Amino acid sequence: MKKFLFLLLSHLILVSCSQHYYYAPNTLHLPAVSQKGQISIEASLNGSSQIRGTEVRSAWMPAQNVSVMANLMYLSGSFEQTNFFVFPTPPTELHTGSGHLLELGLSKHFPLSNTNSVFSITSGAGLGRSINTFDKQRKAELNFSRYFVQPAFMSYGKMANVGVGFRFSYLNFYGGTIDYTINESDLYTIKNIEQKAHFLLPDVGFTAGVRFDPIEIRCNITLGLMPQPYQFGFSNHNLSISALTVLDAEQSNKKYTKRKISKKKKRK
Amino acid sequence: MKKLLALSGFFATLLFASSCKEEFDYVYYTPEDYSLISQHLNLPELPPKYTAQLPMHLSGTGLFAPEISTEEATLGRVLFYDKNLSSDKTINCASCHKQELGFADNKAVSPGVESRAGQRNAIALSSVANFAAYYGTDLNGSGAIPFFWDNRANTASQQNLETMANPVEMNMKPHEIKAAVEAQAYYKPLFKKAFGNEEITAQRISQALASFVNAMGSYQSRFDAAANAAFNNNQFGIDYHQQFLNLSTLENRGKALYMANCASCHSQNFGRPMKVYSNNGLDETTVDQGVGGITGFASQKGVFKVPTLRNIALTAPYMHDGRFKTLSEVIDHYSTGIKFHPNLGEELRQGNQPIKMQFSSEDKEALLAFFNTLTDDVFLQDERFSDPHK
Repeated sequence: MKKFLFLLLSHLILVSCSQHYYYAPNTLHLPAVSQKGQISIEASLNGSSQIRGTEVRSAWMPAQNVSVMANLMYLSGSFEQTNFFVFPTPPTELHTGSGHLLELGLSKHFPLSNTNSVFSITSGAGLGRSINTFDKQRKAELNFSRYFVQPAFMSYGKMANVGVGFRFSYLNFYGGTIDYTINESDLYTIKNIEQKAHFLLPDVGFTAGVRFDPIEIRCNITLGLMPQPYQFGFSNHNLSISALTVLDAEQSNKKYTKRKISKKKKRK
Repeated sequence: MKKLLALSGFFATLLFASSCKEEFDYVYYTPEDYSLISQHLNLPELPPKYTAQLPMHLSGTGLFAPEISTEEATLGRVLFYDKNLSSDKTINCASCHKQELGFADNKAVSPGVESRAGQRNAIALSSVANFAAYYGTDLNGSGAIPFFWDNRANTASQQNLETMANPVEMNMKPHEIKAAVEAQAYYKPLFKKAFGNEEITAQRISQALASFVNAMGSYQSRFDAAANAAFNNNQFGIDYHQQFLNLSTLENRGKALYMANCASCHSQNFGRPMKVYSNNGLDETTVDQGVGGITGFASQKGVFKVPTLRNIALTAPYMHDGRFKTLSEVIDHYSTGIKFHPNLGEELRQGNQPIKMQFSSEDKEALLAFFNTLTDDVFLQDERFSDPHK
């Protein structure tokens, strides 16, 4: 128990330290569509100790048990820093950071018989960029691509849905422009990233949602399982609250067609 | 469905192709600025960092090197080697502080502009583990160890302004220094990097020089390697009296003699001296009053700065007036030559009698061997501190 508390405390201290992040995981997109023609749209507010942002996740099932997804994440944050180790002490610097990631994925769903549960496998790829500024003028921009495979399990209840997923990502920092006068510690971190360049990142994600038809409110937790992410300036968690709605395109089409027919009949 | 798969495949290929470049561009100078700079100076496109990481045996006992601005130190390096900063354009800082000699001079007193004779021996800038850590930097103000043999300057900036203004050294008034720097076009981008704009002032020149000098230091000698090993073997503690495994028997004997006879003033780890100033019995009466000549206190007449002894084997001649040509002469002085002076340091006297350390010839050989372990070839060949002018 003591060890757990120590680890928790150390984690909180590390997380609460002011620092720049060069990568943060997006929320795992767990299955939301289950019928052919359904479209889901989910918008979330994300937050951790320093990072705030939004995500939009959408999925479409063009064929039964096959869906495509598109996810967009935008995160940003800021902190102030004063360097007391330099004389004369310079003015407090405003540091900001932002990042975005756009990815597409293709999923295969395997409904589990006699249950309202589904197992899915998703693979996808995306492009992202992190932009950190150091006292407004100095900037470090890093570009990355990410490929992932994500097995997930989702269970649908009458009132609530729960899900869990694992995402195995291959993250590749393929370029960037860095002002060489940024903080030495950040330069060191970026050189660490450049040196390694290719990362295998396992993440685990949980979601729990309560349905207020036609909206579902979800709480999402994504935890990075990569050891020592701080040496690369990676955030290893993402918490979000989202609102999700599922549109049934086929049902809507049927209703629309019915309405048209009945109008024609009336005219006749 | 097939279209969907084809689209996904196309997207993945595109992504893979776009991410094959794998190149980070570090930006420092603009291409125009670097083109101008590289016409006159041998400066790398990306400047090296100047903040020192002191070895564990020093940082573990509380000596830390403060952060140094890379931009200011880079500018300071160019200024340090610029002869335009002297009235007849023949002298720069390096004229008296030569890197290959541990940033000291091999003359008893160095000539200044128009070959005017200086008054004291040029202090070896490499005698410290880190200049800023040793002197305490401007951050500590007057509480830090002062500069010059007579401790008359409190900060590195004050020290370099005085040196430039000294009629027998560089003989330049602040407005002349400013004009001399402004006349060189390549300084503008360097000032912009260091201070955010191209404005050149004497204060900024002085600050940049101070940053460069504050970055200097010698901490990669054989002594440091041996002390570090001892520090690690002792599980992060050190007793400098113990035998160091990485030193020879003769060197260890010399170390023991040093710790017993010299370290009470010059320090055990060569980090900071134990005394800020002292009289070491060179003469019974003194003409150059040293610290006392500045403060006027009788108790400080004839006393001078106590330096640490890193790279001591390279920095002959020795003492504030350069009277000893070799290290052996210095050892002989402490062995049998200390004279009584009213302000003679208490470590060197018993009542009114000066102590004679009476080193045997083996002792002297051992001391010399130990002093040679304080030579730091890495620092002496460090390009960051070399002359960048073409």
